[in-house]
Amino acid sequence: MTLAARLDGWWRAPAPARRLAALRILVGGFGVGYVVLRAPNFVSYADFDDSQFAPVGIATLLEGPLPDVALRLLVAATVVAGVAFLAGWRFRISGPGFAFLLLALMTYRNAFGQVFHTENILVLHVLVLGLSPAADALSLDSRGRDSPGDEARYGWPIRLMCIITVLTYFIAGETKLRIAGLDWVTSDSLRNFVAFDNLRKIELGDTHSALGGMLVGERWMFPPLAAFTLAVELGAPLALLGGRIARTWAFLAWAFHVGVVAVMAIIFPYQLIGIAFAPFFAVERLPIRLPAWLTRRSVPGSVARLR
Amino acid sequence: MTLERVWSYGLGAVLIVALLLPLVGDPRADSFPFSTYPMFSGRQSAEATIPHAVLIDADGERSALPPVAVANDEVVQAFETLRQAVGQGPEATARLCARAADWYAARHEGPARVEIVSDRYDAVAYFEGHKQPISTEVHASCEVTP
Repeated sequence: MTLAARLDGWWRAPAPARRLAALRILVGGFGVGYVVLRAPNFVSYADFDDSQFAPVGIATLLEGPLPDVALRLLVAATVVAGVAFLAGWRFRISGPGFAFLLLALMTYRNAFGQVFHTENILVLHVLVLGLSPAADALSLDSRGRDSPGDEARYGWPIRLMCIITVLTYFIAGETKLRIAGLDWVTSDSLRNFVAFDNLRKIELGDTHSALGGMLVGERWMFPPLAAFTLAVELGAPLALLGGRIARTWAFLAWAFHVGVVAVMAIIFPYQLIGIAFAPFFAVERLPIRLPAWLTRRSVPGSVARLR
Repeated sequence: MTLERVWSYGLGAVLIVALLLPLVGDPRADSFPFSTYPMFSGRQSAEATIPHAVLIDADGERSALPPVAVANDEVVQAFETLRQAVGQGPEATARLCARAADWYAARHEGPARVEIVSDRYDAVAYFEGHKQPISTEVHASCEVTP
């Protein structure tokens, strides 16, 4: 078998339509819930001083901040498109629609001087799902039809979602090496970051990690923690080997985020709930289904037959 | 080659290249959704300057105003907003001070004063019990008007 054929077999390994559909429901459900819960934060950018507008990504296409009403409409439209995405309703429109609106909303939130790193994987996962046949099962569009079996067209989007997750971690690790080198592990940098970030939260009247503040006194702990962080980040591509290695890496990456909450009170919700790592698992085995009344399709003549 | 196969390789290639592109640029240049994730990636000194908004009540008691008083509920967004205002100069810090004072006046009664302050700390020493800043600079001060 040629290298190209082997690569093609890996990239387009068949997967069940229900796995991709389950990912649509998990990722879409998280996305909709996140936008609804964080809506007050997203609309708060309407009150920011115009001088703070520092567009990144697709927001650079804007000439200035959005009017208040446009921002509120963007939030509302994202929720509406997200519900359709989640239900798999008119997915040819709602899939790309939700992907674009979520990208636009999240990019806008990052356009006021502070680029957050909590939503990157979510936005890219939604983009892949929205541009793939993720509503061929467990959806309104597929009601009344049998779920297709294992096919390549349901496999590659899942593979791409896995690649997005691992590359995100790998790049974060590579950036540490490029900026600070191995000093990031051997010096006091991580300890100083933990101290600085917790003190910043105290000074700005926010919740800080009491545990992190306590651990700052334990200087010896930080080089091993930094080494673990870098190992999880730079070792992420190993998860593409699949199987037990992928599951082990996903657990370690999740544990890393638990540690970040404990020591710095920084929450990455998409990772902490585990959905960022869901593409590595057979999520179609989860008891995920849309309500029966939504997916039932009336069959002509069925009423007469019952009589 | 089917259209579906072309699409799978096309979308995959575009997204993977876009993800990897930041690797060849300035590691500190951040964007969204493709990023180098530079936050907490550099060399951090124990000494740090932290701009913040302080409330001084009628009894002279000082307390930190929450992030939402100057920006929104995200503490790093509030920090960046304060840092930018300090960098822009007295006019910007005065505007931010007035915003924080208005936020407080809408929720509380009685006279008070708001200050936009930069405190320089040894952050490690702070958690070892040395809670006094090394230096303090007041950028703006404004009265809370009910």
